[in-house]
Amino acid sequence: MLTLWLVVTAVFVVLRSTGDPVRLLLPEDAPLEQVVALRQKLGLDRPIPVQYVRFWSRALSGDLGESIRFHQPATELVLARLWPTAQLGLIAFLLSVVSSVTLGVVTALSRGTAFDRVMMASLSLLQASPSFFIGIVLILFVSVRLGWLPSSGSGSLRHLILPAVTVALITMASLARLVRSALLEVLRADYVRTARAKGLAEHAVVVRHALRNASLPVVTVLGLELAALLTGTVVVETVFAWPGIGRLAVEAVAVRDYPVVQAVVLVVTIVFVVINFAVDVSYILLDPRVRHV
Amino acid sequence: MSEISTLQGQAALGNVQWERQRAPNASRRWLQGVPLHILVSVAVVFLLGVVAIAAPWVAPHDPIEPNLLARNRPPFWMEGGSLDHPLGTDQVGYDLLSRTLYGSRPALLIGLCAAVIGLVLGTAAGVLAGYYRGLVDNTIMMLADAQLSSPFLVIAIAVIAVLGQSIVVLLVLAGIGAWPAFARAVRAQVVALREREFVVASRALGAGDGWILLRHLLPNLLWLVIVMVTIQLRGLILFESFLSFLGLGVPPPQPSWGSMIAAGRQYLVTSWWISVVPGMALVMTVVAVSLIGDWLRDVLDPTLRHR
Repeated sequence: MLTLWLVVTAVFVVLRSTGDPVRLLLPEDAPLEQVVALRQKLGLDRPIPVQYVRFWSRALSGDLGESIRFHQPATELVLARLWPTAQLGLIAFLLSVVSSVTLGVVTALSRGTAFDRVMMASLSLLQASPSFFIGIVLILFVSVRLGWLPSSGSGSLRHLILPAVTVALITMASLARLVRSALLEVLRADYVRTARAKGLAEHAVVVRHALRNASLPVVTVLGLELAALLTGTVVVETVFAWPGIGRLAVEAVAVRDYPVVQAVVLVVTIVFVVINFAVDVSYILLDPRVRHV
Repeated sequence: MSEISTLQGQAALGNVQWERQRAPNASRRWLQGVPLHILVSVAVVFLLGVVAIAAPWVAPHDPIEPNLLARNRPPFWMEGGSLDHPLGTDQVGYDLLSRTLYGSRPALLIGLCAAVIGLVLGTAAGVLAGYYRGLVDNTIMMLADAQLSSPFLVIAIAVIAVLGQSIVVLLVLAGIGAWPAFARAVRAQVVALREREFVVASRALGAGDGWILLRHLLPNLLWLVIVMVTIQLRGLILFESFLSFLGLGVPPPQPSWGSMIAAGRQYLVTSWWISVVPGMALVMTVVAVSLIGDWLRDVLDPTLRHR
């Protein structure tokens, strides 16, 4: 909540601090009457505190102004683009969780072998690569060289694969390392030794006893990663011409469509706040120790 | 073994030569603990710094002087390439090698300046929060957490939309983006330090807050801050390249790795090198910087690992 308030206020301050937003909204050679009329229409002739309150009440009722380019309410425009981004983000998230848990478990169990070392090195390399460049390399090999998947656009599942893999790879790199170290930590614990001592099969020890307890630190980081993943989506959308809100924001900036930019910032911030809340809740559900605090 | 041989050397050759033998030994011992990949990374970063400073003398061509007669030329080892443009040219005939060399400038400049801004803001906030605790601490940490849980890149896009794109806006934004991480790490350290004997003793002797901060706290934060700068540098260089890739960073036609990669996006089918050459430079830089950062962190302060 505090985050939301701070972001909204920051947007308000930045918009007002640059002088007259009307000058940004209208063409430079607009006649004076038009400037005055728009200023009155937007309430910019009122004192700053009044403007601030008005800004808030309108934001709360979902009215963030009209897009200059599309002549549609900005909120509507952003919400329409939210679904493709959510689609991309969710699939990428699932992909990264499944692959990082698998990779983390496999590397933890084969610790010290050549396979483990090669995997860890490639994960570090992946973690250090910017998402958009991974996207470019994937396009180069999978679309251009092999011709398996389309390089950009949307509409079918085939269009979704490359962007989703790109976003997932970044998250996977850091998550897999975390799963590995968390699992190695837990495998040294007494209850794992006990489970082994009572003759439990190795896979049961790993899955039932170790993995479950190793999931706690992973979930904490998952929240941060989910947020980073959303930011990654914004950039990757531009690489693959995916019609999500990141691309909408970049396009809106290019044509100086300020109401849309503002609406994107608010919607993304709300999504961030909701994600953080969901992570806190899931943490309580997973760890009984937190529940009673 | 080496100790014995130096002792023998001393006996046989006298003090002067003993000194001479000892020096390379000592430096080798100092480097022994450093893994090879760190030495390579340090060399890469050093080279990058040299290139960034010496770009006008190293680059074979002017980075913003298009050569329309030589467009989309491949690197020299491919058919149709020549040593005149060793790494090829792009769609308007810019020399890719020259632009990639010049591209290290915004990456390092913005990364380092932003790290310094983040360091100053974050250290000040962290010291205040950790030393005075109470309301100051709560307010500062609440602000830091709020910023950490906000979509900073998207907010940065909006700010650039309003203020216009320039290098100054970019590095100030990146610096503001980095302060919460510095503030949290510094605060934790200060909270631990202020209960230590030497601080308590100094206070018992009647030292004021200013004296304790300058004399006892800041010197003890030095290593932490150096490690933090190295770790943050990775994210800051990426931040610059992200925004430049989106066309919101370094204003064209000045070369930046991010915008160069974006320019080559359309030509992947015919001229893949336009994107890949600056991309490799970017990846190499980020890998080197993050390897050094991780290593420094593990060596100097293992407790930071999970932060």
